Amino acid sequence: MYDQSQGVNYLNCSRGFWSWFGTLDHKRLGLMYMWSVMGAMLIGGVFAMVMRLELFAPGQQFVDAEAFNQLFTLHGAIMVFLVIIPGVPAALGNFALPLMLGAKDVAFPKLNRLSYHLWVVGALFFVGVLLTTGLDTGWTFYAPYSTLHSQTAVVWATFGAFFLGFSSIFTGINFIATIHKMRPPGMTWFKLPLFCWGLYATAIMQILATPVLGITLLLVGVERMLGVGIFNPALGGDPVLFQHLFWFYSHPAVYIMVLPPLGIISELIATYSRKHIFGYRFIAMSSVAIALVGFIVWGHHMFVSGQSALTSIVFSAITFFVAIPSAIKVFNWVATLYKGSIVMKAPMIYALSVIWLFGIGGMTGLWLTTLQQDIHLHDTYFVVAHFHYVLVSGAVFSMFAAAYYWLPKWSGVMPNKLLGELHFWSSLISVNLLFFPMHFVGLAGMPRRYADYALQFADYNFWISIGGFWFGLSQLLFLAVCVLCAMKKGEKAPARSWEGAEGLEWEVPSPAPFHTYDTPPVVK
Amino acid sequence: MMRTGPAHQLPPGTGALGLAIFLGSLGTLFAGSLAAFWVVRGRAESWAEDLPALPQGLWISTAVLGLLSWVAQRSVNQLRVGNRPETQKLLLATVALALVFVVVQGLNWQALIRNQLPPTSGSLYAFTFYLLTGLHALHVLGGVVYSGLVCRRIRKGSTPGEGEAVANQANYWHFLGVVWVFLLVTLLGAATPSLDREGIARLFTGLTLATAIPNVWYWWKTLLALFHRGFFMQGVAALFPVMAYLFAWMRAPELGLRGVALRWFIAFAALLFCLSIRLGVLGVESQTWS
Repeated sequence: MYDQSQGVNYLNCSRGFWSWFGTLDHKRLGLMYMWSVMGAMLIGGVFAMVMRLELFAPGQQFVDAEAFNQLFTLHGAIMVFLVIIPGVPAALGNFALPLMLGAKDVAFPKLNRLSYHLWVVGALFFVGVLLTTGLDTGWTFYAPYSTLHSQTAVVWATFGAFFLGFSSIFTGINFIATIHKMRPPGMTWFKLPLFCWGLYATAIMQILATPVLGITLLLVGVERMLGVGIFNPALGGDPVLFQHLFWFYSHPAVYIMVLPPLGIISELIATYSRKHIFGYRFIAMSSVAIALVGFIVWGHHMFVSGQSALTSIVFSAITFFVAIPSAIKVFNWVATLYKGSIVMKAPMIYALSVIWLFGIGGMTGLWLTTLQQDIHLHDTYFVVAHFHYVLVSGAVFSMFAAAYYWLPKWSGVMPNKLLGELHFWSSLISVNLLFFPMHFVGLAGMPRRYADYALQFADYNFWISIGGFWFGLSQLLFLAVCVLCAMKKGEKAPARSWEGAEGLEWEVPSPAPFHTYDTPPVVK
Repeated sequence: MMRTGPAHQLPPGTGALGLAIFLGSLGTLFAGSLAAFWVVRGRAESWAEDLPALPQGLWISTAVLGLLSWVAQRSVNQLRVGNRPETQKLLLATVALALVFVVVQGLNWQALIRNQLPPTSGSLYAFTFYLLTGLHALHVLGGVVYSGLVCRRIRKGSTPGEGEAVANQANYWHFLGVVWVFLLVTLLGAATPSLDREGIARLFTGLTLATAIPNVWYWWKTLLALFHRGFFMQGVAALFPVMAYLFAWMRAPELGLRGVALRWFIAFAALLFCLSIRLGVLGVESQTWS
């Protein structure tokens, strides 16, 4: 079907800067997203490590309190807006979605290119923030601090996030239209790969929630520049309104970050158990259910922000419902593993660890949604531990799993087995050393976002920092795996790179040819 | 610059779907802005008292926008009967009317500025007016580019899918027209001096209850359909409204509920909109439900 005699593929079919930066090809865009996101991750990671350096011992070591404020703000803002939100949908989704659907490309390739370019513009604004006065509002830009008091580059950052929001919306539009209209003949809704279901549910949230963030951040910028008072009580405004608008986006954004990774895990568990996924319809619908319920739980970020007690009780109750579809996924994965013929390849060991670690993040989520409990735990390290278990050992580990899984398709070379497994074990141990003790210090009352802590937390923080450096350095192993693949060092990958992998993306050669699926395949 | 090979032929309706999703996205933008507006209005100590009224020119811009929608729709009909020159002219008229609309809005802004109410006057009454009309005008300007591109495409000659493209741009204008009606009603309604915090809360209590009716109706229909077709266990599960919604969506063809899922989604969004404002304007325990 594909002429590979010339060795022409999407990587080498044309050369030069513009053939990449100006491309309309989803595979090239996906790959560029990937490298860009990894670059941003490196910067955000360095900020985290400087923070851990400061918290290595009590008292002031390397940075003062103001610099510390900047560090956690930029770590959060970069990791959320530049890494995890685009990481799975835009980077992995762009590459995988059209191939999994047997489509030539996404529905609107020009919009797709625009959304990458907007990502770059947004990233440039963040570079602007770094080069000027930095940012110290926390990634959440809470008013009235961000609108009245902060002396840092809030306007730059909000405009950056504004452009990144557009990028995210356009990707969402593209994916929904692609999934609706470009499935091959015979691929009905309930034959859609589960990763695509994850992307679909995510896209719904991207298009319906992101505009609210856009207008909110625009208002913060305008309020700073013109001195009007939408969020300023002295001028008749309402600061709690900011939090409502912000979390109306940012809570669904949490599911934008985790739903596609969970879709990946569903793919991998089935592939490496060499079984059909158990409870396909339930997993597919659980993604949609999480997306829908995700829209009506934003108030659980505001239990101590002065909303009425009844409102808090209602939001708390609805939030418990999120646990049901999440648990449906986990139980179905475990049921798929049962009596499967499990193969422990690098992607699979990551997938298995995600079930466990995401489970911890999910369970602590139940602690936090319990209203009374949250009032004690609010703004402590317990919260930090919770969302890092969900986002690092849930979402980022899934991204690693997906990377090992699809690297052969991207590069044509199997990822280095030894480095991959070393990376896994090193990350697994260090990530737990890094985040697990945070539960204890949080329960004991250590507040987050402080540059210093009381002496009784010193031993814990010492080990947390050790875990942090270890985890950070472990990621160089991942970089090494990627660089080796990019340099074509390694075993050549066949079209179907993994035994048991069944998606349409494995029907095309590795690396993927420039034109895939000129005529759609027929799915039986 | 590299192309992805031959221009790929999209299945019919892809553009319309893309636009519909985009309009959904814009819809949440305006809905979010309007919800925030009502909360700010409801919590403000004073609003438009002793301040100049909103400019009368708003009625002119409303008329222009109505005409615009009509002209845009005519271009769709003219292309359908094969009258290309007329279609082109109508598309140009669409662009021109959109520009007229923006100019009229500019004059409206000027009128308010002349009345000592510039955006920086510190009055939220004035600022929100500039903000909402400005947001809308930006999308009208976006439409100028959009209709301009469609016009160029028609001039270059017949291409497959052009009928859909013209229809899509007309739908964009209809959408902005509907948004404008909501904005106008909101801006003028909120400027009514007799409307106090309790009044707004009462208004949105009423609207919440009104929007609850279609939600309950769709829930009831889904439950009925499930039990009627013998999906007993799913019927029990559908006593949770979220589950009922999912079944309405995934079993639409079997249950004869085509289109219900989408309409229900919109009804639920409307309910969430009204309830959020109601709760935002007046915390629940500060007053009993009026």
